[in-house]
Amino acid sequence: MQALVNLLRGAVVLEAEGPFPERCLNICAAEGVGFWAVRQVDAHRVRFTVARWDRRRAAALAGRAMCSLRTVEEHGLPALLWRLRRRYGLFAGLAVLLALVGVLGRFVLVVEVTGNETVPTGRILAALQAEDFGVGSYGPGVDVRAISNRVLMELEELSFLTINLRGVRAEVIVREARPAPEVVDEETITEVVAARDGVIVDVDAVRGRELVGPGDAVLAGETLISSVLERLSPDGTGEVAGRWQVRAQGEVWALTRRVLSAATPLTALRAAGETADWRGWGLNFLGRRLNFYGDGSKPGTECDKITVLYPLTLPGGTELPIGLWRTEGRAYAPAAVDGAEAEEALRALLEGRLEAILDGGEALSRTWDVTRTEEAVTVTLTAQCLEQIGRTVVQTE
Amino acid sequence: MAERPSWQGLMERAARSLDLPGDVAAGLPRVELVGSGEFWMEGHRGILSYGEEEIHIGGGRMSVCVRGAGLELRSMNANTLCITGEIRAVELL
Repeated sequence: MQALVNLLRGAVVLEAEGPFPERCLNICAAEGVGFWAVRQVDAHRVRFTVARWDRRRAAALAGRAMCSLRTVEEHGLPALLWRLRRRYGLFAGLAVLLALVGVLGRFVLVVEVTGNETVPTGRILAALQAEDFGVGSYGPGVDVRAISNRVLMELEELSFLTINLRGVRAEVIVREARPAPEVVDEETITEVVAARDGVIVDVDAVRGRELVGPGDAVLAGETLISSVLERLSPDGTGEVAGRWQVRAQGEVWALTRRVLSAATPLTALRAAGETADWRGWGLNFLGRRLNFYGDGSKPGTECDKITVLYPLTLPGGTELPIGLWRTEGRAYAPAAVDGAEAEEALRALLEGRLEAILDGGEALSRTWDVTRTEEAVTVTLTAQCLEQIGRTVVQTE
Repeated sequence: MAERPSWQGLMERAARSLDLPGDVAAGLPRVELVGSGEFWMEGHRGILSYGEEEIHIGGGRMSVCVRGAGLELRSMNANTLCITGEIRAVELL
């Protein structure tokens, strides 16, 4: 600790020379000039160290002891600064560094989101960015409560959001809202109708009366499970003694036929060439982008544009919100599309579309029809499917 | 002719007869040795001679001689001083 104090306040090694240099030490001690590290050079010379600010007093006191005093060396920060007093560039750099530390420390440089499970972090960050909060925001100017309220109104999946500002780090803590349970209105009278044409394979009525059976052919909109239940007369005549309505529910599986079609032209606009037709650089500073090129040199919208960010990265791997953008553009040109590749892509597209619309069903067989002209290729998929066609609708009459 | 007792001598005798600590009551020097590497002295009267092997310190009616090797006056003020080094002997003169 004492060494640190001496370093900060500065120390001077003095050499007292005279017939009795010990007298110089005694006088200094008596007058309150603190000194330490006394070493004898020879019988008439003694070296000792005093604080920088005691040098003049020590020199004055040495005269009373009939000694001459000279400075041997200087230590500490004041001496160092004195030696560096003409290094204007160094001081300017130091001042800029301190200013940067002081100024940048008030901006948000890192935003961390915690607590979200189903809501993507990117969506939360985008909602915060829409409220002008993100990397580069001025910390003291952030109205946490207002931003939190507005983001919560926008993201209904969240029930709680708060922002903790810790220096340059903003910690966004969220809690997701529990989805409201589906309220089933048991009083509403419903019936199950066919969503599309098909041949019935199986009927599983949870409530209601089955109007069709396996092997029946039905049309879209036809009632499959009726909401009307009948009670027969107990005398065995088969007469209907009474009717009442219920909320019909159930699943009806049927064989259906699906026809899907897609087409693509055999000529398309593509980025021509491997090298960039245009290249520009920009500066990313705290999330704000400053382009080094004018709009006049940019290509039009008909181009392939690739932007790469080169952030300033600390040795530990932390990326700072300061860096360079490089944007490359390759102009589009009409190019022929390979027919086989286009057909393959269309088949994959239709397969995906079929899987999506079956929703739990399955395609039992597929028939592909490909029509290729000079301009386009068209692929048609005809599939025999097994799917659930029962759709619950509210009975209006 | 007998030497007249000094004021310090009187105070020293009075402190001794009253069973009071001499350094407080009579301003006598107090010497403390920490191991063989550190020598403290309170109430000194200044350095009489200084060297790496021998340091003489004034103590009023007596003087103290510290002998050793690599002796160094580590710190000193009007009342207290500290000597470090390899101390081999402390002698009252």
